[in-house]
Amino acid sequence: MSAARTLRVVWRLTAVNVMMTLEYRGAFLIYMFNTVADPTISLLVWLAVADQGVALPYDRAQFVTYYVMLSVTAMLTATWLGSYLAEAIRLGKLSPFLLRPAPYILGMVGNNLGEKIIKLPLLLPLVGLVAIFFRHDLRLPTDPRAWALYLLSLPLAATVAFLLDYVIGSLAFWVEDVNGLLRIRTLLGAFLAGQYVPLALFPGELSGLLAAQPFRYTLSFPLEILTGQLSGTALAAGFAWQAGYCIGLWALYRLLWRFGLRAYSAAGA
Amino acid sequence: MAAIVATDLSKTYRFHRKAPGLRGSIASLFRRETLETRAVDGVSFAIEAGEVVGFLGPNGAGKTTTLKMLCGLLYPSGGAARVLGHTPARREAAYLRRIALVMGQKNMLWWDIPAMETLLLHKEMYGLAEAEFRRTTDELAEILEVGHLLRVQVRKLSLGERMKMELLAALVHHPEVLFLDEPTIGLDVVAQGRVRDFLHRLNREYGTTILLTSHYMDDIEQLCPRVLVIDRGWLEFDGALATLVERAAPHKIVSAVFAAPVPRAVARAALPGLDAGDAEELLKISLTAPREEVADVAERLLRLGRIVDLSVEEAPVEEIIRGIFRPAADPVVAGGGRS
Amino acid sequence: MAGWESPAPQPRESLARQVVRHLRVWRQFVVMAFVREAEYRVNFFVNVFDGVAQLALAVATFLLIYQYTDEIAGWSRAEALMLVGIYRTVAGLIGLLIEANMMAIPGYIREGEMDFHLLRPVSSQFLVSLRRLRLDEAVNMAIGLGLAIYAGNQAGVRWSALGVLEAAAFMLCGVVLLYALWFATVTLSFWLVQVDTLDQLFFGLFETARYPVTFFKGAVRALLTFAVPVAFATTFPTQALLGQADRRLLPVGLGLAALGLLGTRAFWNHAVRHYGSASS
Repeated sequence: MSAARTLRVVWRLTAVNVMMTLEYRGAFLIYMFNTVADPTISLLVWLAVADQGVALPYDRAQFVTYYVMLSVTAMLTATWLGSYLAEAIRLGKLSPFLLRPAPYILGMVGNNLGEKIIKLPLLLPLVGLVAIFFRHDLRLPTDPRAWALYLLSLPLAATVAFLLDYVIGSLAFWVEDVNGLLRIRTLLGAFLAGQYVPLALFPGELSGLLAAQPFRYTLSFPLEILTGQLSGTALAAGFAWQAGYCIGLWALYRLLWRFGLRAYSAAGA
Repeated sequence: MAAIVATDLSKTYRFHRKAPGLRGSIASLFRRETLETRAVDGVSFAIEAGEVVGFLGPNGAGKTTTLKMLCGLLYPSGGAARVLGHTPARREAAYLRRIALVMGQKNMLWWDIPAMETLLLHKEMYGLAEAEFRRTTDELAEILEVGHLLRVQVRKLSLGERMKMELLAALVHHPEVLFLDEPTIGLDVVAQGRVRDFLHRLNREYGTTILLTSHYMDDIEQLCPRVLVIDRGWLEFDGALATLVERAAPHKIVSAVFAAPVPRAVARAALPGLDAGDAEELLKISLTAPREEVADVAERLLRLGRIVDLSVEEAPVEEIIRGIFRPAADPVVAGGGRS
Repeated sequence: MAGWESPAPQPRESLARQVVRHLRVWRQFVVMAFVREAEYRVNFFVNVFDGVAQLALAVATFLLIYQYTDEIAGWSRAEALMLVGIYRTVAGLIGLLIEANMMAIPGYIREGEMDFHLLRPVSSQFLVSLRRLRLDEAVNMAIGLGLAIYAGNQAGVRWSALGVLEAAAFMLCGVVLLYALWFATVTLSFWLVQVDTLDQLFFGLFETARYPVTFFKGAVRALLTFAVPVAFATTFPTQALLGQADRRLLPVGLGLAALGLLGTRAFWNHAVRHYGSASS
């Protein structure tokens, strides 16, 4: 399928999903409240520590920047497809889609983008409120290059997260119940992505490991760009890792589906 | 005293309409068109204790809505319902102990444990005494032939067995009025027959008042001496099934089987309306005739030759009922205001 | 077979008898939960593992914070971990008694099963709130208690019957208040199309119970004490065990809990009336 047609299909599917999910805007608003409240609580805890005069790797401004931008970044890089995909495979719901001339994954992409388009305008006012609350400590980068890099790493982070879920969900071709695995991925993934504690505050000995693991590139990395903690080489290395995970996971997805579909049709589903 | 009384019972639903497409979705964020539909529109009837009454009508005619108002699940938007002297919508415990609702498409039994556990739950909910509960359960299980299945997980039961269990669970507290919504839906013919037999017996021996809706004419024919026909929220007919059939279908089917074949031309001459097909000779002749001409037609048939078998039948009830209902149009009334 | 006699119009059931009947119904729920659980061995272990993983992450978060300091707002590391243990205990209690129910209620409404629950001569709020128990959560409760006791010993707690009783009373208030909050949220599903995310709201709010409210200042602390009453669930019980609780808060908690129950009851009845008049 040509790139242009793929884009057209994704655009169509996104529009369809925007329409379908518009109905859930009330529920999404609540969900977005949650997306903002969680990091805010973490932020307050760290500020309480900082207020005691304890020396920390982040200063107040960095904490505020990190956690205020965390909610937007987390929403835009979120995925929720794993259990849906696993269920579709397990219950044989894939078949009607396989006859269509567009890969199954595009439907999931459309769903992902569609919901985010609905969620973004609901989320931004809430983030704005939090930003106003912390305005005295909020120091967003003024250098447009930082924002450009952030905006570059954001879709890459969303892609890593998306493919990670897609790959795990695809294991349903062979494994009866992948929900446990998905649950571990969610819990551990959030922790290692810096959802609760910025990775920069983990013990120094772990920094090598933390830089190499994929979850950093689903959320933490774009935020690290905004807090201004990365040197030029660290930035370059980060982008290399992020792009590498995108390509590696993509290849893994293709491989799993090539063999998975064989298993799927062999099972007669 | 009448067990169930509906007086000018009405129910109006309000809902919002949204224009299709993305633009419509966005527009609906700001302005929604409120529409009203009259699901039930001034229905009145009375059912005596111990009656079995069938509720007929096409989908969306208002059957289930009426049933739900009588149970107490829906508030009437006009008129009143009285069941066993109670106002159902108040859902007083004293009322709920005396009725039961069974819906063919929905389970009230706990899916992954044996039905006996649900029965025990009902025992506690309805505050039944141990001895009374045992006696009723044994009795009903015996009639329904499900005694050996009480300790089997519900999900392992067949559809028919599950329906019987649903009935059993609905009846352990001896309801005086039983509301049934499509109790035989999805069941095979044998299981349908069993359920019908049971309901018949329940009514005869325990005097349970039964009001049921069903798509299956066999249910109605065999169980309900009286039917209520509802269409587009209106009560179109209230009376004996036989009367309904007579009124709706003034024709009967007359058939004759002859000892020797009758030439087509001869048959045509005797019976002008006959559609005889291509065959040169006919061994069996079957035709519809208006009620008042049945005797005449039979006589003409007798003159055609020696007859082995002669029968006069009503048209199939199912067809008759289908004929009663005009093709349903969109019952939506626009312009309930804007919100 | 003998016909059954139709019952004479019954006199109004006394409150005491109603309570007894509801208790007997609840006992049958417990029995049913045991029968069910035997069916779900695999889920049992997955859920326990999940609980342990969540606990580990909460502990890890605190260990990360306490790398940099020995004390936050007067809470030592051991005391904070003790609170995490209490948090896990309360989470287990909520999981055991009400979580599965709260998550099932929107489904009852969507699929029409609510009709059956409304037609029982039992409080429908009671029925939908408590019918499903998740026994595996009892294991998580035990693990949480284990951590609380271990960390409590490290923190030098002098265990006393009074302290434990006081902590339990606070915890009870907290659980009731959290239930009221969650139930009220779920009740909204009579109006909203898709409310699965409402559960997320509750979980999100409940996560704040992992921190002592004294970490926060001013408005946020007031919010977490009274509006989103997580303080009663974890902070106050822990303080009670440490002998630092403000006793005046106990009657406040009990009053709030009673108010919460009455409030949800009124809201639920209102919602059920709406269901009866607007649903199709």
